[in-house]
Amino acid sequence: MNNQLESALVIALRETIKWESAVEASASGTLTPVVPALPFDAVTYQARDRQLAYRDLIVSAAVVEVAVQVGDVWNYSTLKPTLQGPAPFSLPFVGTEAGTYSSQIRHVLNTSIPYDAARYADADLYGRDALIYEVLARACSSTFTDPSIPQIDSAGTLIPSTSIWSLGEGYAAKADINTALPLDRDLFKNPDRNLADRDNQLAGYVAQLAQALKNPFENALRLYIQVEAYGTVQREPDIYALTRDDGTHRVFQTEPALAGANQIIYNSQAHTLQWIRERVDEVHVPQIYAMEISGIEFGQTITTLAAVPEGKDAQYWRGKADQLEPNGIKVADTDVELLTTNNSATSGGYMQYGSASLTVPGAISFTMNGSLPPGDYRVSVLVKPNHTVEIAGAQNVSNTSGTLGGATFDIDVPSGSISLKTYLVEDGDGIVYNGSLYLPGDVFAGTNALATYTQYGIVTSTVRQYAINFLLALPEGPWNVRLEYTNLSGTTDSFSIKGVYTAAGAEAVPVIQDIAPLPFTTTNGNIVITPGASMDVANTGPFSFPIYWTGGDGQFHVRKLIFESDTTVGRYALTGTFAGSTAQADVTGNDKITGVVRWQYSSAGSSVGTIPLIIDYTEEPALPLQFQQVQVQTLSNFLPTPLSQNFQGWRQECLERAERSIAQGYQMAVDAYGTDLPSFRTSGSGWSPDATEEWMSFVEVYNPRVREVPAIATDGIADGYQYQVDTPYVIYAGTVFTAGQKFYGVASSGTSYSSGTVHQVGAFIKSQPGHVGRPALVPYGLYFDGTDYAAKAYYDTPFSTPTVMACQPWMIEYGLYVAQQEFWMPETIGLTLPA
Amino acid sequence: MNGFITTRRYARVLDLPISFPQTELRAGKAIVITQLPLALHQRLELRALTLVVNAILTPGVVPIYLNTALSICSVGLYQGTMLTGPLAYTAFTEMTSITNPFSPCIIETPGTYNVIISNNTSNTDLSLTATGAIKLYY
Amino acid sequence: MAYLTESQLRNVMDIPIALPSTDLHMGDWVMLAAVKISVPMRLTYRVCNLQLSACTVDTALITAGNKIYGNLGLAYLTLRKDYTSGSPGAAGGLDVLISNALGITSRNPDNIVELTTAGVYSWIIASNMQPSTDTVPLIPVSTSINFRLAVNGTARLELNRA
Repeated sequence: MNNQLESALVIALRETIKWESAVEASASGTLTPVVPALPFDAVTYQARDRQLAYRDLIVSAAVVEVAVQVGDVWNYSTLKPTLQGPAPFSLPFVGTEAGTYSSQIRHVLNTSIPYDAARYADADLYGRDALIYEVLARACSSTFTDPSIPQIDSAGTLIPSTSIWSLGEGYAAKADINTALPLDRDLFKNPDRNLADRDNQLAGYVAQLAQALKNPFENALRLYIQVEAYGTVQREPDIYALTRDDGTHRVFQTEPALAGANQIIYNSQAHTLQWIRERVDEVHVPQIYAMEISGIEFGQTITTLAAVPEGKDAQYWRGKADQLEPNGIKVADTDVELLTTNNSATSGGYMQYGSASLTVPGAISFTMNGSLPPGDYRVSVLVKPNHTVEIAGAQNVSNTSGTLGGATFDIDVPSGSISLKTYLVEDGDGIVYNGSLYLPGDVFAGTNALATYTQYGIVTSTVRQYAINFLLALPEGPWNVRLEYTNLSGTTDSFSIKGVYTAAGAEAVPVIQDIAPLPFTTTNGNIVITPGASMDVANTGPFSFPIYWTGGDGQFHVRKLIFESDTTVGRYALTGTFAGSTAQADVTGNDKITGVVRWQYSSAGSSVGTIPLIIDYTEEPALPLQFQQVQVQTLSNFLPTPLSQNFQGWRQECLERAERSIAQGYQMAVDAYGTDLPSFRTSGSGWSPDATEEWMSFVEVYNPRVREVPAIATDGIADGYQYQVDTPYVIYAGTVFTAGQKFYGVASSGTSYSSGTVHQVGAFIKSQPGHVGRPALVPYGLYFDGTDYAAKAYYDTPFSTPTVMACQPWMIEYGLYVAQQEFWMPETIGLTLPA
Repeated sequence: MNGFITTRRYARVLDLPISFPQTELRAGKAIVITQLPLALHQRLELRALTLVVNAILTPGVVPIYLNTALSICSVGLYQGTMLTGPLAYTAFTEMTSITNPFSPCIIETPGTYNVIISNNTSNTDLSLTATGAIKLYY
Repeated sequence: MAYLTESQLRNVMDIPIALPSTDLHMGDWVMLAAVKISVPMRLTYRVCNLQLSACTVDTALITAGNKIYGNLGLAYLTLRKDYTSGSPGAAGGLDVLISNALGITSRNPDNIVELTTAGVYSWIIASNMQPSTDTVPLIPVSTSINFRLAVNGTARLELNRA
């Protein structure tokens, strides 16, 4: 940028812009007016000169303000005048007061009248002040992202930028319009010459400062550098501090301060900038200095931000951690996973409430989708041994479903609706079905082949469902069974219920005997539980367990069957088949203590599409095992950053800094909410996966980039949060963002986006089975209660500060978040995978 | 956390030993080296845990793995008893292996934690040594 | 001499060299502890105590002929680098604590062993006893000279030697 009063660079500067006889001018920028028709009043002319002197002080305050900003941004002390008193740094301006903007002064002549001093000389002096100020303001505006002084002519239509500066016969002689002096030319000219001299000093300062702003690299002690490519930030702004200056090379370095890397080198002879990143495989060709230069890769730019470095958040530290790769084995997540198992991705085993399970030795298969690169795999499954087996009512083999996963018995079944169920005839004279007569009280088995029946006799009979059957296998030994049931329609005051255990090839054993009706005295829909009934499971083979509704009105609905034993320890020999090979796991587990089972495989080829995992549970049948989540990770070798041997603590350091920033933001949120602080615990100190999500939302109040959330709803863009595009493109607020680009939500741009999917960017991700042992973000005071087998929070929100600690299996079950892979270190030091 | 240590603070920072001198560990066996109960406001940090395989006592046998993911033997820090879900661990791949001391395993949730060394084969007896230290802040 | 900060203290831990009271048979040895270090760690060894509490024979009858290595006493604790197998008394050890009689033998803590080279450092307790090679042995060659001993010591591991 030129036309920044370059010809004033030669002016020798004095240290101080003196106050002299300056008088505070009007805040509007007008000078005391002169009315030429009135008699000559020296005081008016004196006042104008003094106000012009004050405007000089405002301009010098502006110079100081910009110099301070240079120090804040580039951390070095630049030239600035000393002020003799406080003055604002924003110059008020009234266009009609100004004369020319060419820096000339039309001084009074011997032939002038006093009014000429006001309308020509004062006006030109006013214009000079405005010119100096505006040149500085424009330089400031084009350099800093947040300029410290405002412009007075941002459109550039009034005040030109020029490199020429007239000295205006400036002469440092304190002179004032004194009525005691003769009324001659010098009475007016000398004070104006003094004002001109002050302007000259200011023009000199501004010219010097403008040069400094043009090339901060010459003097800066700190640079704030950002690397971008294709409209997205690759490396967030980093602070580079001056570490060496040998007169030719000014070397700025950032963390991690690897030897000869992570540097910006300014060559003050050639006026070039060169970037050396942590990998020295590709060299950056030195570029002529500019605030934005080309980077190493195609489309990459390196931008020097003229801004004060801001506080860094966890996502920033995630990026920094990734800049240094340690030596060792790298474990990476893939998209091959099952976040829940109670769905059609599972086959085999017995589906319990909330998760798939193997109650006895057998095989279970999980089918996942995704893409798997070639290499070594680690398959982790979140499991929970549990002697409480909960079977949903709808998991029956009698084609009976119902509300909330239960089984609702059909009542008043009309002819034409008979199906493969067991029915009871009630009242009337009976019915004829499939050629047979069934009287009231008789039970018959319906078939799919015949859906109709006919009434027998005169009085109409009704048909209702009589039984539902469950097929299950349990370990041998004593079990206790209970039924959760309710009435869904009509009224009843009791139900007669029977449950029978029939092992394969054996006699039926009554378990729940309908000796007397069980009272139902609550509202329809409220769950009632039968008293416990003991049964002895003979062997691990599948057994049939029909439930009969033998009496009572209304509409019987079975919500759940609950089988429970006393076994507390189990051993699990599990063979996992994955990617064409098998691996073993042989572990012990304790009742209701979540754990992780892990297998490791080598594979030659990659897979895309459906990828199955088959688990064969061979020993020992004692304690049923629930399978809650599945995750596949790949193992490979890190590509260590050169010369990083002494920086092995870097990733841990980044994680700790991220933790500190999150904790600080959390405390700010606690202070901001004051007495309106939300609570996330339930029933005292109970914790749940929902509580985890709500607590994370609170953590996000001042840390919007903490949590990564996939697949944001199309109207879910929030102000201040960052999003990254997953699909080829999306459109937000009229702007198209392509795959991989990031953008921030802005309140004024609305909450909606379209044409694709984005995820919320964050430094922590929902934990999965393969993340056991990795750093997790945990509310302080959260623990696993070994008596109630549930997570509890000792503290409420004010003290539940986010703390980073190793992820335990129960934390995965409760949906806590772990630090992203960029923070992870190899588990064992010095080990690599064989080639 | 970066403040200077006072003597009072220093008195509450201890190193708990994990010491398992050379011991014969039969095939399929696991031993709890130490159990560490942790109360609220206390903090455990495991940084260095070394495993040495001194000898394979049934030479000439191809190991049959019980836990493929844990090699023939391993030592780790656990919350429960499931050996395949360690909070920190090292497994045999060369004669001596160590957990990564630059990535500490930090625990601040109350509970009881075990350091377990295990022979993960069904047919190979091993002679093992494990050494380490856990910092307790209480 | 700088003040100690909390984050520096995190990088320092005391590794145990410990053996509960154990019967060590004639000529046998046992590894007590091992630490694998890499750059920029430092291992400092100062303090160790070796307690010989009992012997199956009268120690007064033990002669030079009963010793595998004449200068290594009844039993010795040695620190070795990258030890895999073989007699721990072989040349090349980094430090040795020798017990010549029943009772406690303590290492001189002012004799500091500082280790910074990457490798595996192990402490091995060994019995220096063998069937006597004397012509007229005081202790019958069929008698096994066993010790009951315990070891207690520590080494300081600093993750960052700077």
